[in-house]
Amino acid sequence: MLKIKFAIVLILLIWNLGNFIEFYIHLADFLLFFHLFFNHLFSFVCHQDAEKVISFWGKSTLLCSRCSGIYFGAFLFSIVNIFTKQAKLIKTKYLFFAAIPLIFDVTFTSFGIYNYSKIIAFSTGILLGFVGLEFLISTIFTFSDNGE
Amino acid sequence: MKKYYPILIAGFIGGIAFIIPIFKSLSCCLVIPIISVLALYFEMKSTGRIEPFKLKEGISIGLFTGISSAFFGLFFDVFITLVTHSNELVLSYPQMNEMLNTFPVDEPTKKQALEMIKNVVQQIQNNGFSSIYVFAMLINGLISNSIFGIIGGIVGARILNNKFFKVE
Repeated sequence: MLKIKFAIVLILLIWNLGNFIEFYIHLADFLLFFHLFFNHLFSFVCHQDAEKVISFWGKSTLLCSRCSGIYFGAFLFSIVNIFTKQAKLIKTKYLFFAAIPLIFDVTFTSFGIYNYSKIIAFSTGILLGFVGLEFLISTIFTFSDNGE
Repeated sequence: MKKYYPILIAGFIGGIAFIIPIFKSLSCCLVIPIISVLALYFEMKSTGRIEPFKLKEGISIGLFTGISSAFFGLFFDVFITLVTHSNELVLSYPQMNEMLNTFPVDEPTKKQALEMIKNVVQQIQNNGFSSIYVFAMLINGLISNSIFGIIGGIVGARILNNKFFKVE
């Protein structure tokens, strides 16, 4: 069980490191090819709009703020998950509750009710990523416990 | 063949979603999980299912929906590229050039990376097709769509079981 938990942490760590690759690309030349790889891989899961990525110190993430939040939230849960004994089944409604702020944010910014905020997009993403992974893991373990 | 209709229809919808920029930008990585849930729903309706989904059913339907959407998405992308001789890679090439120049890596590495991308861009502009681009798209699509398809299948199985079979 612990091996699976660590594998989830590792996968999400690599994914998140790929997102922040520009911040440490200067450390080695070969990272340029990883940058190209991750950039292309992430283009399948995110629009990567230059105005919506997280930028500081002249560097940017490869994913938009919302997607960065989702994967960072999932990564945070994967760490918390190591210290919990058994995955507790969370109700479906909690997944919807966690998704509501993100859905409202997408809707409001799309219709111009307020301007896109990287902080709001990142925060709502973290909430859905955290609860989403908890929901996913608890669902898998529940199915497994039922002998499926 | 009929049993594959839900997967193919949902994959077709996913393939279309990938070529509509506004839809893609709004839904990001949610497209594939949503169409996997849709495939499970179609499967439930088409077979008149009376028992809850099992985990392996959710995983297999989600996986194959992801794979079919990768093929449909690639087909639409290749077709549009063939007609227009342009795509996202061609459009973003000038920025890619500038971006690579800002990276603190040595010149030969930079040149090698640029040359590789330039060849692909030229092939697309001249012939409307690049086998390297198609191969890269297919591999990436299969990997990412399969992962998100499985996630959508698992979540979808739980949601549909909860809603239609009252199983939490």
